[in-house]
Amino acid sequence: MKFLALCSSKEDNVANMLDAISVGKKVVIKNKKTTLTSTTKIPKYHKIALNDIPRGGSIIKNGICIGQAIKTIDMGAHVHVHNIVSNRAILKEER
Amino acid sequence: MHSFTGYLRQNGKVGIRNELLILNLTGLTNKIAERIHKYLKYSKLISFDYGMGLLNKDKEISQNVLTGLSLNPNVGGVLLISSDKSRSEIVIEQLKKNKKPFGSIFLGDAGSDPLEMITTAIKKGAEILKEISEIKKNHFGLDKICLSVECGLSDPTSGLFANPLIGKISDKIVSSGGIVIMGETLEWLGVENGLAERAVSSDVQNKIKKSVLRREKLAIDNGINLSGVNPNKKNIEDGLSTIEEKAIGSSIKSGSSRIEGVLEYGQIPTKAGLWLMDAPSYTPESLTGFSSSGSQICLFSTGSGNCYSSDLMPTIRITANPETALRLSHQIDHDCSDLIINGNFEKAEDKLLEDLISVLNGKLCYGEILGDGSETISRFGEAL
Repeated sequence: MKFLALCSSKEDNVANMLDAISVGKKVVIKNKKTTLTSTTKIPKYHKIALNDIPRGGSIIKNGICIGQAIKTIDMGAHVHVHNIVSNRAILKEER
Repeated sequence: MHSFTGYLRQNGKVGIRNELLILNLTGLTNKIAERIHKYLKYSKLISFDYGMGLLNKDKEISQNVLTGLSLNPNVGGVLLISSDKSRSEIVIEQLKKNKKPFGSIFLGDAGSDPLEMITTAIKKGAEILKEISEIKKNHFGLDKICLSVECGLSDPTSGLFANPLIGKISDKIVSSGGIVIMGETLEWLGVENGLAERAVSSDVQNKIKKSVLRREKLAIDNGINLSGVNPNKKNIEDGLSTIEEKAIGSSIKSGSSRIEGVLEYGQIPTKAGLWLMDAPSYTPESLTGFSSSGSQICLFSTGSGNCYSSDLMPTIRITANPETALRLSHQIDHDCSDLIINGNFEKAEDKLLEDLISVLNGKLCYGEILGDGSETISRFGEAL
């Protein structure tokens, strides 16, 4: 079975899974017409990385930066609060 | 041409409902207003439970919002309740200017006797209800509509499907000559440059950017880490990671029209088109800002479900999450989860527009049926 993910803009490096997925499954990226393999478990509607993202790299969704990676993220991995942070409203002690 | 039937008011605005609003202006008379409301079955009650001693911006905005709520086109007549006349003067002046039927009852005039006040108020309210119930409905175009757009307890399906769909309806209302209002300033964070590019002037552009930066600074100065607040814990559990990601999905409700200006909380727009409102994101406060601005109807998207509704504006709850639509079938008014499977926005737009027009014509939303409606007026500072 193939799983679908939706990405909104061609610059995006993340897509939203339309199903929950386990490791090692084929994922078809809907409006990008590419396929990749999941490298972690990902809950339904959560984000999957479309390529390797280095620590500090920008996370792009809808062509807009939604934050940065706080650790290296592998292609096919779950992208969420455990590996990315916002670039906005950063408190002094966090800088 | 799409049209609907509504109630023409003396000031040229059109209501889609015809309510008697009991507007309580002082905390001292809160329970009195509640008892009056119980007797007048076909009435709505909004209570502002503060009194003297409001200062500066807080005082100004609360007066404007109370006036705005009483002028909302869905309100056919108003019964003002207050401890004394001074609190009501500005509202009364505007009600007279707009020729809206009203009565005002003060505790002072009843010799500080609540029971006497209640009797007088019920009689007055009954007279107004009798009067406004005779108003006949007429046909109007969508240029008479002021639509507000909101989201609450969003998940990724909101930003991917429900909000883009709302954005299409926003564009439709604006192109028909109507008004659209979007608030929730914190949820412009990260997309403010894109919004600013759509502003009609450099002045509006600056206002958009300034409102966002001011609210961002408010979070920083108060030591608030937005992660867990906005997006909140439920948003995060459902897959939204950062405020920027949430903002992309949220701001898309505004559609693609040019932005006419940035309204203060509850301010009434001066002309047709798309407006932003610089306002708190919390849904109860946000929706009351829209009611006060004269919005007659609200499109409200949710991901995991949200039971809130405005009391004055019928609030159409929309979800694109099929599990939510199934689980909360008596909360969700409009299920657009088909979009996940077929991506057919054109068909979904027709369906939502049809549903919207039905509600304009009188079809009830679950919020109205189940009595979920409320109005919550924001406060902007300390009182004496």
